[in-house]
Amino acid sequence: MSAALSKAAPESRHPTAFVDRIVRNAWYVSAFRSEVGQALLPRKILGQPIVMYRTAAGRLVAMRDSCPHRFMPLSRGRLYKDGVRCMYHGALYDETGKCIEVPSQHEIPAKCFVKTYPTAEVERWVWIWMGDPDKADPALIPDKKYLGMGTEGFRSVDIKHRVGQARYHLCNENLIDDTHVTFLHMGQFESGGRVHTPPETTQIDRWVRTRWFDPDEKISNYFKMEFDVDYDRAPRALVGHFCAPATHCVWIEVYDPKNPDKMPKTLRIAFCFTPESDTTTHMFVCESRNYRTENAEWDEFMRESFHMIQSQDLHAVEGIEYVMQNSHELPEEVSFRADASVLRARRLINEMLDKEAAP
Amino acid sequence: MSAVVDDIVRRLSVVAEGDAGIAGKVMKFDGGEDGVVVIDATVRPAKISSTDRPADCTVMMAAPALRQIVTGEGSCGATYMRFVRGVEGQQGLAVLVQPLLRRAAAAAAQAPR
Repeated sequence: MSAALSKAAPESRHPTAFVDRIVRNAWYVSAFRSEVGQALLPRKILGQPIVMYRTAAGRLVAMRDSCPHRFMPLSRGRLYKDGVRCMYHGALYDETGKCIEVPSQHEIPAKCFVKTYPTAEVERWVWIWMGDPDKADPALIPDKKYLGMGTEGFRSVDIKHRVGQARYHLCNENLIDDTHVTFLHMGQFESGGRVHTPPETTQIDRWVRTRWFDPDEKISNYFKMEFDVDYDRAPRALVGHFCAPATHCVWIEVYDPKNPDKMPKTLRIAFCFTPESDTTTHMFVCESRNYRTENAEWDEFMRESFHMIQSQDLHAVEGIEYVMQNSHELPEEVSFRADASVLRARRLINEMLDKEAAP
Repeated sequence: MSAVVDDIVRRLSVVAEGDAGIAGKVMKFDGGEDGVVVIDATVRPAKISSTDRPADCTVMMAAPALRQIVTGEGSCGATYMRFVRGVEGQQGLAVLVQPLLRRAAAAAAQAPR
């Protein structure tokens, strides 16, 4: 980002315009569990290249992806027993990152080790802590009960991992602000009534929760197929959950208009927007549904249709990122009444950043 | 009936096998002036035709859009989202029949160019 933009955009005006505003002391998703096996998986997380793999016993390892000798990426090396051998000069590191062999000499330099990172596996995701390891409390992982995965009666589907060319704040705010749906995803989801109706917004612990309920929502053609319902109008709830700094779950509940007391058909879409760099973002998504749980055909349909929706979201946030990176100056940002949840989320993230910056 | 519908019927007929994922049901794509594509799974293997008849599920979408799916130019999910103008009857059949459409797309990908 140019110095000119930094000068023109004071922090108070553009919380999203600054590239150095990534919360580090937090759990982020680094991979789907199914992605990590006995092979080296490189990925950049919070600006740091890391490599992930599993030991023969299945334990997950995440370490810095560079040999301390000459910085060769270890992901270009080879798994050797439960460690990694650098295939430049042969240094061997065990699963804790300790160097246990230097082929060209007997003694091992004291500083020859690779940093490892705390990880946790919960349901379908691998979580990683890139900040102060002493603060990596697994209790801080967003509560899985909101994420849908592993909920009894639900079937979960991993959505293909993508990297968005936009900072994670923009991805967060796109998802929290659901009034964009009517325009960016025109005709695919709903009638547009949501734009005119303020949501109920509450905060539960670290979660910001917004809920729209329409007792007589027009059900789009796409929703009819996705939810396998044949009614044109039905009660529908849309509940968004955000756990700062980067985890979300959106619940969509379609009720039977003839029997609204019956359990609604529910889709829970969990997201984690993990910063890859200051201006790019990993998108980890898992969809869970409580209908057609026996039909694999729905899995592929959901993946394909979600890909299209996500592309529309990326069209917006990548456009904003372009403006942010290429504007000589930006005017003061304007907020609408519907931005209450977004502003609350910004405050939560700012509190986390302030806490990190405190001595 | 248009050449587009003819082409879709031909491509689906080649890959139709078993119950096409919709056992005992009839599914119809209504392409308006271009005509209809009917998948009749009351018989095995399912029969594909352009002869109009009542169906358990009717999906209204332009025939060129359906052709995009069966030739692999567009995914089922995304093309449905963009081009389906209406769905009548048992909505779930529209999703259950998608493996048949994907088989046609896979066959198109393998065909010599």
